[in-house]
Amino acid sequence: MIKDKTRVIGILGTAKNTGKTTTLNFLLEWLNRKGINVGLTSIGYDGEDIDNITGLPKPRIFIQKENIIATAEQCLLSIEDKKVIEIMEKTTVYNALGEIILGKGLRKGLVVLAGPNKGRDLQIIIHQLKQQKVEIILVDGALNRMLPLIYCDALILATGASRNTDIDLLVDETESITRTFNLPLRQKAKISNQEILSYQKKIMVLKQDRPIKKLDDYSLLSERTLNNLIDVINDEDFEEIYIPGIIQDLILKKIAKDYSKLFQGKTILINNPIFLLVGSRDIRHLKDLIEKISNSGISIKTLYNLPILAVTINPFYPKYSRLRKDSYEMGWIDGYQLYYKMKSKIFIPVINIMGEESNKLLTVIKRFLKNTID
Amino acid sequence: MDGCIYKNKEHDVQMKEDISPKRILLIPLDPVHDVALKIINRRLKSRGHQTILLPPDLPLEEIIGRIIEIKNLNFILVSRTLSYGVAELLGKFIDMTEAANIRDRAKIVLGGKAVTSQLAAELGFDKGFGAGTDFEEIIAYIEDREYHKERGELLRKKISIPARYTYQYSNKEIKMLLNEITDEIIHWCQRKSSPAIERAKLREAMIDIHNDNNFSNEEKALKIKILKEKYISFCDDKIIRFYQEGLLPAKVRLLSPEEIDQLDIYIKKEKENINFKKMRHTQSIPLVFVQYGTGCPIMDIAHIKKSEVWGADGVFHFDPSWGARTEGLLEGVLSHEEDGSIITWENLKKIKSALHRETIWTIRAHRGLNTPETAVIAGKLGADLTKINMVYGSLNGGTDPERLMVDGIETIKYAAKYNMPFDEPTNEELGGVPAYKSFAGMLIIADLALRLKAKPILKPLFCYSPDAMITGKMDDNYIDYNVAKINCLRSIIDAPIWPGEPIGFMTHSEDRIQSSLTTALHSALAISLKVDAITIASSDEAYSKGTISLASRIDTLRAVQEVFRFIGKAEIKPTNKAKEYERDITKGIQKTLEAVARRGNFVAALYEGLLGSTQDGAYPGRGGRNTVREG
Repeated sequence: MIKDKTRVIGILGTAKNTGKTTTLNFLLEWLNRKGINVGLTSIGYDGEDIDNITGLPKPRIFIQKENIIATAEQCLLSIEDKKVIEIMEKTTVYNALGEIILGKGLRKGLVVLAGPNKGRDLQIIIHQLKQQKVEIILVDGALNRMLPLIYCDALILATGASRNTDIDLLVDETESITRTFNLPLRQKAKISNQEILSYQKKIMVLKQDRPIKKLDDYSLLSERTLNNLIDVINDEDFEEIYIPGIIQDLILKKIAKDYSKLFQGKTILINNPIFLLVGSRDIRHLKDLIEKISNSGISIKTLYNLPILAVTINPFYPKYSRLRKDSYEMGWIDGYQLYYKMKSKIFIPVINIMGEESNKLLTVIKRFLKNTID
Repeated sequence: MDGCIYKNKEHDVQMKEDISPKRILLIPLDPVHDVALKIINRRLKSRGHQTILLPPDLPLEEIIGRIIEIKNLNFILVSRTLSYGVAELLGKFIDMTEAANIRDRAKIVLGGKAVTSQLAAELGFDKGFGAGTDFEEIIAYIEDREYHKERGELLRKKISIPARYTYQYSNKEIKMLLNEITDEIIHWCQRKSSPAIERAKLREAMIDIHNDNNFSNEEKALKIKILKEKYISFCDDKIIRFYQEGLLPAKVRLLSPEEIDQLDIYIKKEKENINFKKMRHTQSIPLVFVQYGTGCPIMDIAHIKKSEVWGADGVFHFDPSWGARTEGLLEGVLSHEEDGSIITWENLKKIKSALHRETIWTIRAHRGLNTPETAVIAGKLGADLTKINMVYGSLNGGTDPERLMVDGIETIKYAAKYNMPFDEPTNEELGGVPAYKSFAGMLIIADLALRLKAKPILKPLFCYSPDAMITGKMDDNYIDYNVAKINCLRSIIDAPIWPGEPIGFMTHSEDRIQSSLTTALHSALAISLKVDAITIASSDEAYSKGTISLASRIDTLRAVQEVFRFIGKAEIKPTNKAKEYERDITKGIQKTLEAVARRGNFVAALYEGLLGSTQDGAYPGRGGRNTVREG
């Protein structure tokens, strides 16, 4: 049996202009230099000349010969595009721009990446890219969306001033995110995490690793769904509650506040840390919420780990210009301060992608690849 | 093609019997703007689909909760105008649908003013509809059938402007006077010729040989060489120097082969995927014309392509004034550093290659020393229309009356031969000639055209003319006098009328808004009067200190489109003065024609100012004086 060695790295940006595409291009360049076969796609739309919303220049994706990309066919219409990419096959996966195709780089050039917009489609695309014998697949994120990235093996988080120009608030939020991704994995249980997933996709109450109750709901989105859950578990002796979908942070807060006794000593199981982020209205305070839950004696564990390899930071942001109505100009926050404050709170490598230490990112990636390709 | 009227064909949506009803959830995320969604809701319902319309501005969690409850959903339509922070919200919404395991239930579509396919892709939607999307397009998407984007193309269709006119006279006296005058003219011009006429014949022969595939390339070259020698003998020194020594006049240069290649690539690109904006509303006329003549064919083509997109039905070529004073035409794709694009076979051919197939093309030949040859080139290249008015051309355009009459008659014959109707600008009115006189001249030329089997189009001005200023006819409004002009002409003859050039002349200022507005208001009058076509200026044309900008061109096209929407089939009501002015103009025309008939010699009448005196501001031109020969 051939072990699947291909690693999928997703690049998650917390906002537009956080350096996601710069990070991608940087990695891509290095991987190409190392002669590693790369596959490339995006869950959004990347590669415009100027930012759709702010009108400022944006980097585009610079590919090289032999790179395999998955992008909408519509993005490869010009004569120039046809010189850069050779269309290999259709994927039968569609996005808002039409059908996505697999293409191979014929030579160096700029491309627009517009790939699958949902997780299931990303799974298919990853599978198809793997069949092209690529060793690593880079998945570019999209504005404020992250769910599809659960199909990646690891993430790089790109954040910066365009998310928040207040350094302290920005660091707080980043800390929350990394803390969430650091939630412990459910381990050493009689039934595997896989098995839990294979059950019908609803909220499940588990005792001694067996489901004893199932709800109709998939997510904890409202008071009603919480009450349903409470009704079900009230007189039950249970150990774990598996929530496959969203847990809204307000609901978690309510659990900690009003139902801590009920949940004390028990475990809330989530599929992947991303689900917690998607359900959060206030990511910055998520770390406090997790702490509060923990202090109440409630565990939160995840079925799947999605490690963040590094955090790249970008001190640039589009400054809204009052002088020129409705337009933006380039603004900067203190990159030095941002770097040091971030480093002091985050225990993952922090890298200023435009700075001198950007090679640190390569060290991180090298280590990751080495650990997984054995 | 002999000219055009516009036919407004509404593209009927064919409803297949087997379109299955869909279940659609409509989510207005806007706190206020849910009108579009409401309209779509109504239309979907009327086609038998099941719709659920959520109230506006619900929190995302609640929306997700609602979606979870609905079974068998096919589409989710989300509507939101984009502004700061909204894109993030929409991205989060999509994430939540996926996290809540409902992403795959239906196709999720985003609609809103700033939405593009690219933005929809970035935010994770399955489809995006933005500004300018027809509701029909969205419905076609939902019903999974083809939406014909060529609707814009279907609506653009060339039809002949004069086709629905009989050219019958209703005013018998004027008819008789006109016939008398044109009898004399036709008799007078027999056996008269000029260098221009000779050049026209030679040019026609050269083009015919060039197009004749019975000759080999060498034979063609030889024959054309011989004809060219003869041609040159009828030219001015400036032109002879070009043919013999390759010297171009000052400020003129040939485009390089690289530039021409680039131009061809540009033309090809511009012709793909044109998304025409709809100019028409419920009326099929007037056609809207713009003029081009930046001096450079590249810029001209850029202006033309953009004008087409923004709704112009036709474009017309205006050439440099020195061309009118020079005997002979140059050759090659030439660029010119001043106003006016040089008339050469190659320039016009290049411009023709860039035109959309339904765009109407006029080449003007109404003044100067090259009128018949211009008409030949225009005709051979398939131009739709041309422009001829010897009265204007000789009283205000600088050409000698005798010479222009001889040339003009020949030009009219060519126009007839090549099936090009022509309009007759009466811009002498701008010099100070009262409308009744310029109309008299215009009607004479029109009658002459009819005698020569050509199709004239009358072109009164919608302008704030010097005469109107002096006599106070427009002191109160710009409406009555213009209405009077149109009604007067209509009471005389059943002929097409095309006010120009441009409408609103002398009412524009440097203020772009005011300039666009006055053009729009005059077009309102035009549509109210149901004239056949109008020519509009860009909003900076009257005062631009250099080339006209594309933006200001779009200003007026957009303004006129809005007017068509505003007026529809309604009308503007003049005061009683209009009737009074109409009577005055008609009387004035008759008086003028009587004077000309009495004179017994039309060309003499021109020289003597019967159709516009020096007092009126009309000066018989000198260009080409004493170049007419008999025999």
